Amino acid sequence: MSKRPDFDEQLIEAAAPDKERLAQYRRELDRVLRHELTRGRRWRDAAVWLVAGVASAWFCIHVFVAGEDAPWYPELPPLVFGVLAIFFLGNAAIGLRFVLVGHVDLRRDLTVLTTWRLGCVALAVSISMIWWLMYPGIKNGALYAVVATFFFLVFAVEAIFQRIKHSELNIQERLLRLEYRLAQHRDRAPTDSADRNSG
Amino acid sequence: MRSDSEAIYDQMLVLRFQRGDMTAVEELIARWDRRLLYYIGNLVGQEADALDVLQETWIRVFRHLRKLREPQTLPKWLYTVARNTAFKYVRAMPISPELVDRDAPVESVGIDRNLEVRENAEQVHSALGRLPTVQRDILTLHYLSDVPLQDIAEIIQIPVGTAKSRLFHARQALKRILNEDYGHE
Repeated sequence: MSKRPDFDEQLIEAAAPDKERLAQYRRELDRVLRHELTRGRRWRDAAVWLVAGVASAWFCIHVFVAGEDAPWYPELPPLVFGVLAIFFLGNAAIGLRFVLVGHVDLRRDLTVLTTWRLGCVALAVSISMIWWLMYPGIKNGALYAVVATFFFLVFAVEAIFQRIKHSELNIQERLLRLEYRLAQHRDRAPTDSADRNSG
Repeated sequence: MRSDSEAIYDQMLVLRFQRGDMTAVEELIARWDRRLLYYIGNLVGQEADALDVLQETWIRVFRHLRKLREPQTLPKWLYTVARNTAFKYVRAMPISPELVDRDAPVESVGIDRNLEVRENAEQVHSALGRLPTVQRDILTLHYLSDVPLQDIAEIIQIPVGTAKSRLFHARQALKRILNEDYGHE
């Protein structure tokens, strides 16, 4: 069954809608998709960052303000907590900004950046929590430490899996890119030979 | 008709979307919007309805595209989503007489295998609009050329043999309309 190569395009053109109507639809689609693509992740990400921020603020206030009077004061250098606090509060600030201004491009950048950042934070917090748990005589913070450690380990594992998946997709995409170039050559070949023949 | 390189580029767009590259969204829409609109337009009729269905189709597509495991099945998957969305929309309308027309008898005439080569697109488009939805559905997919008959059968959810027979009868009906309206032999 033979068909003209461009017949489908002609058919589509024959039913092309009014340009103004189409432009209005595109604007509306853009708006709807921006909302749709950011909705679920936006709130989830923001919630994570805000929880992390509040937890770290509470943690830092106790360490820096209550100091050794805090019931669970760990014997870790304040510098470690300072670094953690910067990590946590920085992330919480980004999360808040994300809620307020979040759009597709910002979310994409954050997705890439936060994968590794989350892993680093998770690792740092997990190590400090385990240390904290092992410190004798500290009981009040034990439950919090277990929960927090678990929470951040889950994020670390998720981050690693996500990274592996992205690597796989990258490899697949590179292979497809090669295939695409070959296919482009194949597509061009008949035209080139036709040109040569006609020339 | 879409070339091999275009099909591969579509697969790359799927992978780009799956790894979080949101620029792939715009490219996918730019590449597929007109085709899907044409297909949906032939299913739901009115232009305004078609644009609404198309918008809903894109929302569904991007909600589930992350889960598409075989990027090479994108055309089939897109048409399936578009078709399901269109039929859901049509079912929700108060009356959908054309869907009842599923087994309408078709006058038997000899098939012209090069029919579409001779006709101009506008005439075919106009004639398509006069066919029952069930025939318009399969003929539109056939003319858009993105998917083989095997995939068309899967999109419509019928056996390949039935798809062949339905396509045959649809083409006969189209030819009859073209003969009546434009006097083609």
